[in-house]
Amino acid sequence: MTNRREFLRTAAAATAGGVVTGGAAAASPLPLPLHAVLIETTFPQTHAFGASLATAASAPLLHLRQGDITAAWLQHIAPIWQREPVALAGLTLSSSLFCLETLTSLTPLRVQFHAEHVLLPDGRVQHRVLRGGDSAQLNEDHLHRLGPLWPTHLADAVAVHRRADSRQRLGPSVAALTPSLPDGASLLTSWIIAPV
Amino acid sequence: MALPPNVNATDFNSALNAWRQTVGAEWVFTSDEDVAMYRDAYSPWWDEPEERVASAAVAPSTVEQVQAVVRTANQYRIPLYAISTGRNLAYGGSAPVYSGSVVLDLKRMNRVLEVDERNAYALVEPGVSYFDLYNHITEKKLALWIDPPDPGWGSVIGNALDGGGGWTASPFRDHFGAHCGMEVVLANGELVRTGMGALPNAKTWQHNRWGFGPWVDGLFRQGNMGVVTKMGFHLMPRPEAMQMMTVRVSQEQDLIPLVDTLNLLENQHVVNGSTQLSGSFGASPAGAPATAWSAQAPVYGPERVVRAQMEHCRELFSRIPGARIELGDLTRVPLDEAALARVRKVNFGIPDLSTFGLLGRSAADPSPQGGHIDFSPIIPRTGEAVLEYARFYRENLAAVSEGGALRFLGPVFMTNWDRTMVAMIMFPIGRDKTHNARMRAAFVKWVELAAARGWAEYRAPAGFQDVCAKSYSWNDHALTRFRETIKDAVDPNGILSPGRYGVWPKHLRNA
Ligand SMILES: Cc1cc2nc3c(=O)[nH]c(=O)nc-3n(C[C@H](O)[C@H](O)[C@H](O)COP(=O)(O)OP(=O)(O)OC[C@H]3O[C@@H](n4cnc5c(N)ncnc54)[C@H](O)[C@@H]3O)c2cc1C
Repeated sequence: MTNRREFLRTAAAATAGGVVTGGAAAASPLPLPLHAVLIETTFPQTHAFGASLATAASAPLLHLRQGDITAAWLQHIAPIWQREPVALAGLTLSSSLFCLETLTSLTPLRVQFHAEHVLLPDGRVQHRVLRGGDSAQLNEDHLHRLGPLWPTHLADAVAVHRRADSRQRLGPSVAALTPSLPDGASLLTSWIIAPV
Repeated sequence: MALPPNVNATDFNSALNAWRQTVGAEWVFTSDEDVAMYRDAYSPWWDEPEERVASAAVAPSTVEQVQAVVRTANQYRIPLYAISTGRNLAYGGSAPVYSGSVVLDLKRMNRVLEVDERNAYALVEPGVSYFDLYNHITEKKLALWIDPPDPGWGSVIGNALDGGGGWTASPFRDHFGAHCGMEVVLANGELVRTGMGALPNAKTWQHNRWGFGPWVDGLFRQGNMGVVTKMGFHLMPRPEAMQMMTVRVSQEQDLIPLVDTLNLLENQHVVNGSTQLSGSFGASPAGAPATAWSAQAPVYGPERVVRAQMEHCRELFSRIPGARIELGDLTRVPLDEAALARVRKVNFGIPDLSTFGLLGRSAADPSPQGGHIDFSPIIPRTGEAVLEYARFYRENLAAVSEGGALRFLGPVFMTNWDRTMVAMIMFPIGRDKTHNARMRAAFVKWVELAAARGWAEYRAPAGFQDVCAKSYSWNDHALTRFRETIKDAVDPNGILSPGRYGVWPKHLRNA
């Protein structure tokens, strides 16, 4: 299991040698390399997001059904996180983020970006950026103005998201607890989990 | 950095430095954001001053390190809270019962030490999750099953120590009941092995759980008398097949023979799977087929035996007038892809995390809050008791739910442990502090109302363990006093998980 200190040590050494491995957070001017993109399959919005981000990040797209991360976890994420704390992003149900975040314990991985998208029955979407909006250059008004194009814009923003500064204090997100939703609304959650 | 209660900064720093020497500085967590990762994600006090939080965390990787950490804690009188994987959601997560305790995180002790196929047992460390044990067994191609709870990411040891249970066959579903032998670090740092493990060069540690003399293992179930560093578990030999029978009755009073028949079949070990009882609590809507209650009875075993057992079940259930009996398909094991996609995996010893997705919006829960805490009283395993509980629930619902303003989920009548019926009610917990406060008040009210009827919890969320423990008050709290006497003797400084399941050390007893 890689701990935070070991990770930062390796990353700093790699950056000093000119190899960008996805470490040395603050020093890296490059967007965060993503290891995989996860989407909940049952919403059209997630497909637009997933296709766009997976292409931009050259990362595989993993499909979740009813929030269940089991297969993605066992087949893709656990084996790699055991070796190396790599970044993931997604547009999923909030329970999927919560499960993945829980599985980061004792690693240097933290939720660095977290936004909620409430899909209302009349087709409108309410956006709330809870964490990391600045690094993603994302704001709620802009997402709102984009109307149905918000998933691809969100994907673009996630693709250029910079790693959070290791001095930034990141505790747990609030993904476990959901906001009260209007009748008939659904909640999607966009997120990045990455090493600090 | 927060300080543990009644510990000064100098002493705390000395202890932290000693722990850094013991486990390596990178495994001692003191920054606010690292320590915050041990918060209980479903805390009913989330973001309120009363939320139970840790002051620091230490993650040893060996038994010797655990002993050294405990000795240091004793020297500086620092409360520790041991967790295995710390995913005790709905019952406290990784957060300590006594706020300000240092979490002793045992996740790094994650070795599967032994799996014996011929005698069907495993010996594991606390950080071994159900996924880990399943992977180990699968990789080694052993014909054994584990018995996972709904979330497969938990610790085989942690779940058992909290009184958890699973969904395959009896007797493996009662996880503490299926254990055989422990290794425990006591509060003074001494190491003890229980049962046959007390024999030097023991050859039968996981063969016989009782050993010789008074049995002490029960002190560590929902206890705070030691830190468990190894535990043996009996595993289920992989069965050949499973088949399920569903029995429906349409009159409320038919529940009585339905439960009696289920009990008989289970107590005779004819039905060995995790049974389920569901009820519609009253009259069916006009025109709808009347189904007051239904029971599911699964049987695991060799195919020929399963078929014969099912015949016997049919014979007994058909004695209930009007009972409608449906025999499900027989599922052969190991599962093929089609079966794997169809079944509830935990009933086949396969750990997964699908339960978290299923907690989303449903007809029963149109506005899910994300978190929940569980009220889980044990009631008698009779149809009369279920009907009485259902009446009790209906009668008190309006008052406890503020006239229906608060929505609870349940009750769910869980018959999945031998001889036991748990009538569980789930209390949703969300981000709204006012809502959470009202849920807390409702929870306490249910505990008190149930206790007045002679029903009490088998397990409780950390913040409610005191109130639930208080209901076990027969003979002026004699049982609590007995436990406190033991606690004072084995942990005189009260450093191990103070307050867990209502057992407080002397200096905090009346605090
Ligand atoms: C949706 C959902 C479904 C659930 N379904 C089930 C279910 O089917 N069955 C079930 O049993 N539970 C269930 N739970 C409750 C809980 O999540 C599990 O029981 C979980 O396995 C417990 O967490 P853990 O295994 O990580 O144990 P831990 O959190 O590691 O341990 C639990 C407690 O035991 C004590 N402890 C742990 N390790 C040690 C040690 N080595 N020494 C001394 N004390 C120790 C600590 O007090 C700790 O708080 C469910 C929860 C949710 C949210």
